[in-house]
Amino acid sequence: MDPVAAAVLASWRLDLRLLCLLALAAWIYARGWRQLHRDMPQRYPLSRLIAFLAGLVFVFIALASPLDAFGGLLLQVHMIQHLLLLMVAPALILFGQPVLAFMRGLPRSWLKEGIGPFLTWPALRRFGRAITHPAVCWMAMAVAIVFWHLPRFYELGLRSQAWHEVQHACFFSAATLFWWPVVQVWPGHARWHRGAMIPYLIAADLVNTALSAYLSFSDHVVYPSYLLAPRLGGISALDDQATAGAIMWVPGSVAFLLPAVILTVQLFNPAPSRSRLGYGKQSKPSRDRQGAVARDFLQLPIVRHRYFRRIAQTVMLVLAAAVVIDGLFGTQVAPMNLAGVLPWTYWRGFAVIALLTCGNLFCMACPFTLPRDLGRRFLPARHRWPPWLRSKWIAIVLLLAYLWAYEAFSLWDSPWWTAWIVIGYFTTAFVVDGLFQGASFCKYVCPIGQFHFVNSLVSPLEVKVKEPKICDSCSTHDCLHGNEQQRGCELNLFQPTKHGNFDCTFCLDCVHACPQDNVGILRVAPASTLLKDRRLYKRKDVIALAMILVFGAFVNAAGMTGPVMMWLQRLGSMKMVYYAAALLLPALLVWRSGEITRRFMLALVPIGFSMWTAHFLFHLLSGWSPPLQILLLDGGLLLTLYLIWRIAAGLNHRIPWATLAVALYCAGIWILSQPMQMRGMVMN
Amino acid sequence: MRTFAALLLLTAPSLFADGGTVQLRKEVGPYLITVFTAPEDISVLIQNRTSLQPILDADVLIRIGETQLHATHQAAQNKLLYAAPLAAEEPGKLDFTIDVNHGSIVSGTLNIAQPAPMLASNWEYLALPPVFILLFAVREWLVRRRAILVR
Repeated sequence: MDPVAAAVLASWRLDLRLLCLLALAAWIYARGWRQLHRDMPQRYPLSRLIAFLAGLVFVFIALASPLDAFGGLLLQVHMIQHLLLLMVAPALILFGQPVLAFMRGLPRSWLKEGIGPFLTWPALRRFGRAITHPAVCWMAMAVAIVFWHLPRFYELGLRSQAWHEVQHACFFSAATLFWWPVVQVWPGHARWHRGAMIPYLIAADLVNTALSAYLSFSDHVVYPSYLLAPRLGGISALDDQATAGAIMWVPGSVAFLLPAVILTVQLFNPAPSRSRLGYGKQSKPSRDRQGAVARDFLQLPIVRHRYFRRIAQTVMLVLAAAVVIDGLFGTQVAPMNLAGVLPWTYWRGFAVIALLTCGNLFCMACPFTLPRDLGRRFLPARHRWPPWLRSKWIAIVLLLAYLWAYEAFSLWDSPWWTAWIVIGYFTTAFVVDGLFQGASFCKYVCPIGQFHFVNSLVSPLEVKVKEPKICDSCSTHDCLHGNEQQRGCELNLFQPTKHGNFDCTFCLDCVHACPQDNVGILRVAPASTLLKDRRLYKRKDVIALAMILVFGAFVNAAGMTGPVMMWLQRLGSMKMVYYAAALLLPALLVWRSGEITRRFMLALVPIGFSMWTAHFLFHLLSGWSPPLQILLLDGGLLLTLYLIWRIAAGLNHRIPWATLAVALYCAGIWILSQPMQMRGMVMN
Repeated sequence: MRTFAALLLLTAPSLFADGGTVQLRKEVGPYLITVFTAPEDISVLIQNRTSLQPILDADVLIRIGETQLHATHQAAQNKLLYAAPLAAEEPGKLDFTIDVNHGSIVSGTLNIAQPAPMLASNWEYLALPPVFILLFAVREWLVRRRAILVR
């Protein structure tokens, strides 16, 4: 291939935001289409899905392909880009009949509780009817085309990327309105007779023709910016403009006149009646919408495997051994040592991603408990964990010690210390669980486990009972006590009464022990446990743990920012007092708190988790990626505010707690806007 | 230390292309060189002076102040251009020189402005919580209004 042509064809833009938006739209539509295709196959045939996806592909081509890269240099290329956004993509998307598909594709609770009240709002319905009136739709398209082709406004789009995006948004939304009555988007009804759409399209073509004729026959360059652009292939600006006009004229007219011809043919050859096609027919609820058994993620073949956990633990054990060996005997330059990179950069980043997208996968693959299980052959664990120690206080002290030591000894920068922490972990797990029954180490000692227990309250997956009715008839309670083949839950969680992920290590012992195969990994509403599980906020140790983790997220991240680091340097040895105060005070407040206050404290977990995630992703991605991290904080804030709203129903405590949540959010945004120390990396 | 992204203040009539705005176009030796600047990079189109055919195998060296960078196709979206990231420590005027194939040189001056603050450049993400809170408030109002109407 000619190298210039190859270079042109390679000029794509990787726009992650656009890709994510299109992928999300495709996913929601496909979910809805699948159900509608099952219920109304004639109304939603495969061609609808193909048309919708093709429309999205054309949006991507218009905005990210070489058309975008060369639109500023050649008017004819720019014209093709605009024609795709005006005539091709919206028509195809609407042909996919997306309204109902989107409604069915969204989670049912979102549709009912979130969007439902808006859909039945009379004012909004009146507004919807007004803007989809054919006269309004036609005017929207005509005004958008004429307005944005006036030299003053077209130049605005050429000189400013922001205005160029506004121009594209105007084109796409006006074109969506224009094609709405032509395609007759269901479940709306036709406002004009189908025959009226023929003059509607022809009139639009007249506007298009007038404009394209002006561009084609003009004796001067209408848009002066193109006079400045380098002339590719020797095409003059005036020739380029004439070609652009011809493109607008011929393919543009085809886009208007072809549907007019099809409509004319349809009028003379009436299609099957609307009822035969399923229009207006009461749709039969599909199985998904009747509340069928939720999807069990254990059905994924690899996860289901009996030795899946053992394999994951073995991989982590090998990595932990590599960290210890390299930490003790390798170079002590942290960025060049596995002990400096694997735990502090990669493991923490992947652990929070797992918590955000799945659940407590770190505890599932925990390497520390694998040697412990092997060691139980020699240490039979005869003792029971002392009742007075059955709380989180030991873990809280260890967590505080860890957060303090992290700063005091710059643990991220010391492979030697990191290796000894890992060795200490293995030894403690081995001794504690070698002496005491169950998973006492995980439940009462391990500070990493507590981090995961608390933050997995926001996770979207949970190990839980699939069908509660089946458990009603169970008398053996194998999930708790185990059986001859499989031990039960070592953390004493009884599945039928368990809420949320707190204290759950995702070990899947209960899954394998249940003779009815009635325990799975199911989807749950993130943070719903924080509203449901009353046992959590009755326990001061749990609330203190949560508060340390919430405030620790901000204190830990702020300690890496330039201004805070300089301030701490001025404090000298007193900086440890700052850390102790910042972490301990919120935990100490728990002592004086009532049950209602503790419920609000627990509601702060999402905003704290979002800060941990933003912080750890900074290390994993080797820098701030503001849109992603701001979105994380946005999600954390909104979830926290929602919890506060729900908890505060009928109470007057809403404002102070909401203010605290917003203050934490603002602190998080301030941290994101600061230069950060790239700990554990070469660029540190 | 923090590296400031550069924002260019435009003086002459300019065009937003893939590479940004056209800063200068000059015939030097056998080449026609066009320089574009965008907030985050500087890019160069090199064409044959007579045929205007883009030249894709040139060695392009960009000097901005004290910094010297090799411009590449990989750094550009438009693969006919050679681009290099534009990183300036401080706002102000900076001289630049572009050396094509060790001899064909063009030079000019860039106006580097203070970068847009992080909050301003990410306003749409920061606006999400207020928008969602507003929508939630409207939703609550609708639900309560409906409950009153039903009663």
